[in-house]
Amino acid sequence: MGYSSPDYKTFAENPFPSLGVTETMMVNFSFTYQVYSNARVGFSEWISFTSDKYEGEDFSRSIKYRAVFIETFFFPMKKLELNFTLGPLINSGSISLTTKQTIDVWGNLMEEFDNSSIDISSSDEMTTTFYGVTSSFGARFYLKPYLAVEAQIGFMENYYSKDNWSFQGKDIKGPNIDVEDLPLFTFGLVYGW
Amino acid sequence: MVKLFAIAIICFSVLLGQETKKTENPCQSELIKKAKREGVRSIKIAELPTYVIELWKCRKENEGKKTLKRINEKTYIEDYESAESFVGFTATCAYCSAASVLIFYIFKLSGN
Repeated sequence: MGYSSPDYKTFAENPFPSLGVTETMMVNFSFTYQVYSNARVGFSEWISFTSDKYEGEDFSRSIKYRAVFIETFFFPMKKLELNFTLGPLINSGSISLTTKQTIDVWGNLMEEFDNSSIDISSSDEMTTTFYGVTSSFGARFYLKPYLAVEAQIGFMENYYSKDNWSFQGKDIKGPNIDVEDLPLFTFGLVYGW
Repeated sequence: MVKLFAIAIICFSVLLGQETKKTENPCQSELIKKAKREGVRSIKIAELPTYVIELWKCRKENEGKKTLKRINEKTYIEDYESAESFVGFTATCAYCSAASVLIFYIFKLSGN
């Protein structure tokens, strides 16, 4: 689990669904591979996700913070590891909306076959990509050689611009959110070899 | 369909007909001996499934729990000794990381 404090300014207002815990609590998973006696390389992703209704239609918003990082570590004592992580972020944001509507041509075609007109479901999303850097340090305690608990403190520095969104191949403006310099606290279980 | 069924029966009977090789004590297998000697991390990924099966069998033996404990202890010691301190470039990465986090929080807390 990751905790941060982004300011989703636009999303915090009506008619958007309330933000709830996903505003600050993010699901996080990572994969690492040890490449040196005390260094690992890995990939990590934090997901902030909201799914609810917007003007009665299915709405979802997700922001994924993805890091490719190098993690160095040492053992000050048996079972206890201190680790330091550094890496670039390649983030993505998406807003999707699924609407139900009647399309005349489809309605006519349905009627040709003696059907009544049917609502057509239409779904699309607007997306953005933005970059950043992340760094953190933390401690990992091994409960078993293959199982550990870990806590980390760090930050994410993102370069988000609301002008960099795209929809159907066109550049558009997106929501006003502040994810520039985010403190980051993560806690989790580590399973591996 | 009938062909597939016949093939499945033949395969199943061949598998049943195989004699399983029984070791006297699963805790004395080569992989478990290696793990006892060098820790769990010495087991390669390709050897992992075999090792897990052997470990599972070993647990049921009289000395099984003691063996597992010894393997775990050896792994902790090996981990500690192999990464007791930073080597080469890893120290630089750690300093960069720690310094950037500290600077970030100093600026954050000072309100800049």
